[in-house]
Amino acid sequence: MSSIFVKGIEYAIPGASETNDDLQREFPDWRMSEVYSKSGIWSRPIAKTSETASDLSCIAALDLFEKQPGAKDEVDYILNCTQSPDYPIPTTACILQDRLGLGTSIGALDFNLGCSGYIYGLQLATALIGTRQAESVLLLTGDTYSKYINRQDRTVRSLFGDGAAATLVSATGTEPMFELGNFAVGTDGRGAGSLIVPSGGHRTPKGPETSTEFQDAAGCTRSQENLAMDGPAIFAFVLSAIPKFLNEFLANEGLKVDDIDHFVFHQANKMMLENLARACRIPLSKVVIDVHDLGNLVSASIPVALKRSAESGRFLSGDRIVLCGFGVGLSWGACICSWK
Amino acid sequence: MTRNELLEQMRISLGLPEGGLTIKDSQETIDEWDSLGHLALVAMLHEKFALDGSDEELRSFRSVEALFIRLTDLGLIED
Repeated sequence: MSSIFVKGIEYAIPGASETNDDLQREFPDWRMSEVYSKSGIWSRPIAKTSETASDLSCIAALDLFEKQPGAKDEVDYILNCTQSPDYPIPTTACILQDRLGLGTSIGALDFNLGCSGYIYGLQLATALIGTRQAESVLLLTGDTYSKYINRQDRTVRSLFGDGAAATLVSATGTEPMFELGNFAVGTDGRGAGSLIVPSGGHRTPKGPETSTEFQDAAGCTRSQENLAMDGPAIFAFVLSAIPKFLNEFLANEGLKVDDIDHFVFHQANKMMLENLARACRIPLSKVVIDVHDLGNLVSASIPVALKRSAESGRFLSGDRIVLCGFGVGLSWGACICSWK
Repeated sequence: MTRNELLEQMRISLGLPEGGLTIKDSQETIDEWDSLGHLALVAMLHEKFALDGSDEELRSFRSVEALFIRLTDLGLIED
């Protein structure tokens, strides 16, 4: 298969942010300084009520087209990764095709993944291009988890931010950011309840009961229509499953941790990344940690971390980089790439 | 590992001063044992005992005593 490249990444975050000081004022009993010391998250961009994930994805895509002249005319497929669609029906990617002024001969679809979504999106784009079903794929990854979060639920409100990224994947290698290598993915639906919005789909439709707030065992307030996260379960899954998965992935590539220059994991929070690095025996200096003013951007976290690391000059031509996403589903994936 | 050694590891994970954690303590008595504090404990358990995270009781313990009982049942700590 011929080489496939990421030619550009741009991102968009809301203009407003919620800081730990804001949360401390709203909830004096929340110990936000300790939250910060563990999570590394100081502020989170939060979308306005009228601002959707697709709005942010649209802004990111338009920015990408501006920076990559000619790209707009070349895009022949949209992959839109989101768990915050504009509507249950129709597909948000179709709406984006229209908003972005793209031709009607292109393909467009949504796929519903979170923290692993960027890896899956790159894999799908690679498959489309590698089998000549497409030549230039616009991968959009955007979410507004804040709209699912109960304002009184400190377990998730302090962690998640809103944002979107637009990535151009193409077979042409003119001034690419990086070249894509192989992928590996995994799924374990037994952990589906670890990060879930229980109501609003067809399994548990919304109604008076689902909007009733309750306090969980940890004293956090939410309803069935809010995001619920079993942090310890996800933490335990990540520390148990991902090191084994990553070592097997690298071994299949004939590589070891020492052969990799950078690891860009899903940017869940600082404590997760530091413990994961230790469990994988990866020097912390090789791990990108970029959560301070973003929080957990779900499927946009990896591309935004890549873009910001690139802008800071962290990556050098020839660097081997492993991208690895993990979380809601439970779902995970990794790919290896070569920085250009 | 003994119970006292585990208690010390828990104290350190929660960022508590010496003597700041006893067998009678729980999430209700220790302010630092919030959701992120609990994750620090889970991380410590994973590191010290190579636990695979599938044990529900090991993820959901809410008191020092509950953790001691479970780890004793698993043969991982001694008195």
